[in-house]
Amino acid sequence: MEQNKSVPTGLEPITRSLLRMVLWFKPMYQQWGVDSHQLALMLHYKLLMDQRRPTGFQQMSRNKASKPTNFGYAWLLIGLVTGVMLIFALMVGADPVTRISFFFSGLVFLLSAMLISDFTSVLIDVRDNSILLPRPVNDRTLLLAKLLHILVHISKLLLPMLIAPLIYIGSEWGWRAVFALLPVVPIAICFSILLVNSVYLLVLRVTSAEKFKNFIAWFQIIFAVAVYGAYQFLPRFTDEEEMKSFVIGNRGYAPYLPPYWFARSWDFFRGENWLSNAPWLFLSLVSCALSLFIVIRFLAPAFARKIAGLSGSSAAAGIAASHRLTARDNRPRTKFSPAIWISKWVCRNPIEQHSFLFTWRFTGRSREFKMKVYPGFGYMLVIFFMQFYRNFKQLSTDGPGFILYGSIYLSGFILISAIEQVGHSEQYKAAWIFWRAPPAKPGDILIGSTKAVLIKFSLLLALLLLMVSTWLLGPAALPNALLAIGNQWLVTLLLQRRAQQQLPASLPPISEGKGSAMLKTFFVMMLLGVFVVIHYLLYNIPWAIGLLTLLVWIAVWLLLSSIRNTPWREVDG
Amino acid sequence: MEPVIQLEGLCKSYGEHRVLNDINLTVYPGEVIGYIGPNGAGKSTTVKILCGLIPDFEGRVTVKGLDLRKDTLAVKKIIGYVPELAELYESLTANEFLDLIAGLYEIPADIADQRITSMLAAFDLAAVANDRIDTYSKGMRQKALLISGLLNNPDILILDEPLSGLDANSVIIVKELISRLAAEGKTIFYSSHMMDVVEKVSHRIILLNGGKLIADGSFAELQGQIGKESLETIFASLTANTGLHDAAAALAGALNQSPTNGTE
Repeated sequence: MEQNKSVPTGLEPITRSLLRMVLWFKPMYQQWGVDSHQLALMLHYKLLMDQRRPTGFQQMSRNKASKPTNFGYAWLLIGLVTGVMLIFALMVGADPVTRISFFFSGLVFLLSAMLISDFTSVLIDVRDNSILLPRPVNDRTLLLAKLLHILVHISKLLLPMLIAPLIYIGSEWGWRAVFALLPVVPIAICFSILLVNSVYLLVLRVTSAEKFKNFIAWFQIIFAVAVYGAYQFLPRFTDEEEMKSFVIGNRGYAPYLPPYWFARSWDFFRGENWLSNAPWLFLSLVSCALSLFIVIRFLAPAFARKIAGLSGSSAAAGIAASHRLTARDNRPRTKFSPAIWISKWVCRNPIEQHSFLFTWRFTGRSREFKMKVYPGFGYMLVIFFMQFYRNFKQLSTDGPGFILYGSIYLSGFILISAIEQVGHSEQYKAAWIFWRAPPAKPGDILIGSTKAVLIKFSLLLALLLLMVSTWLLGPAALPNALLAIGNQWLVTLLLQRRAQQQLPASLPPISEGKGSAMLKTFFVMMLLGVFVVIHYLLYNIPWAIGLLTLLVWIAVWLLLSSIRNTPWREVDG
Repeated sequence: MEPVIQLEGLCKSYGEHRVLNDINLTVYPGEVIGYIGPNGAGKSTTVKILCGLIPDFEGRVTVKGLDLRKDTLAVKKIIGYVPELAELYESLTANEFLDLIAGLYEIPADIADQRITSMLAAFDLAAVANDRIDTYSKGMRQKALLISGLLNNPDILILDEPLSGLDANSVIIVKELISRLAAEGKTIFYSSHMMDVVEKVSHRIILLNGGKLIADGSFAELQGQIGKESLETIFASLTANTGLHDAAAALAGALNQSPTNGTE
């Protein structure tokens, strides 16, 4: 079909070229039972929507645009910077094949991380249920459109990422090595996409739609922590000399590693050892084609059916809910809940208590909140072990010292991110309930919510660390640990107090890298850093620590009181 | 006359819960079917099965002689569907969104252009056709959704609460449109909770309760059988398990209760 004249804007030149490239293989797709016309159309519009999806940098200047607006080139800068990181992978190993194997490992890892964080929403876009599924589009076309959409978008992000590594490769092994890499990179991209999607589709095949959403959330959290842990630990656990003399080809496990196949394929294209490298190129190509075939042929049919069940308003979900309702009718309505128990102890009045309970439940059930805040627990654990590992020698001679208090400060990052996120939600419009019948002052709502966050994301962890400190260092550790907790709370409350107050879950989600949010976080980190330095300088002077602890807790109390007295005009919404 | 839709022994279960229980229904061209029932009766499930969105049902469904299970895509081509509370691709303009839908039905570009332009103008959206949908009001979105359901000139039009969010003038347009399409021989499956509208636009009313078909006939026939005046009272007498007045009294009474002595 010729293009409709009413389409006012087109794709960026790079996206358009990439789209053309993936559509070169139309005859192959048609053989698999895909409708190539529908495929091209869906891809065109999905990519156009991506182009209009604002990234963090652009949201700073974004007003609600009535005309189509494109948000184009921030990915270029982000990609260039990320590419520099890949150069480090190229420095590991004794021979070119080993070094390129590490490069491809890094690339596959990076791509998988990008896919998991960005493209889960593409694969399971619930809007497709009411827009695409009722149309005459077959399952294979739908799934391939999603996979190629991901492929084009990822390739676009990857192009600037390759610039720095290609320059490095060119300077090490000449222009031929650079050109040899170009045909292998698409294979690595396909491999990463199919790897992540195969896992998703396999899980989707065996689980219910609702469980799948939870699976993805936890998968993303664990993956983020694993990436961070690997980044922190691997270079420290391996011997530098050993890394420089490492030759992957000598290891028995090398043939089982796809990055090694890609490296040998690269070696083939740059004209080295053609005969011995050819089977590896063949293996790379066949594995990609085969996995694409398996995904389209065997996993696609279940895919469409399962995503139809992912909508919140699906019949199955509604019926399950009405079933649960009937089943609960006969159960006693009250059972012990720690949140209710704590709220009775710490809240002064019913409004405060209900705000406390709402925040407690929201932070435990909202998937988006968990995705943003919960990885912090994992990061903290990694940093905690890193600290002990680094300072092991010092620990065995001098005892744990300031490291334990440092851990309390570290847990402050979780608290800060929780207090920043608690005001934001995809369903922020539901916050009308707070404005519908507002109490005279919003202070009770704010204080209830703040208390819930302080207790859930700081106090419980801090108490644990307090006990560890007292156990390891004796009662003398108590004022120091209390000071660390007080400082953590003081900084968090200052962060909350210095701007407009936010009712829980009442504002749209914060975009990553948004200017004001970044500045605010930077300011808070700086402040916390200053507090840590002061504490470090004084931690062996008991009277100074005692005095500081007292002052800090008075400041915390004053800040909590001022939040309680916030007027409505200071509330953001 | 050849039936346009035939449901034979249609059953559907979610786990152990049976949502549709042995539904048998024959619909002829030009009929406007008012498909009603209380929440959870199985209306949306029937509609989704007819649209080919739920393939794992029991029984047999044929649409214009095509077996839905075997010829899902062919059936989807002749059906227009306006779902309830549907989402739209909000970063696209109405023109772009409708062009995508037209493309998926493989409507030639010149015909699609002409249809999109005329329908947007008829619904008073021509001036905002190149604005992003995320700037539209609820009613404007509903109009865009209605156009997307009509664009392929379907033989069967399935409407699930199509008047939601529309202003009074647009409601008149849609009601008139339903009559005209029916006069042209198209079949309309109209699912709604607005009994007064269903009463007026439908040739035949089908009432579903607990997954079973409990009434089928024109409004006059149902009035004759059940002896009530309005569709609302017919609906209540056939579907309400407990007295509706008692339920209202219980709700009002709940406001006066205190935890200690039962009433304040």
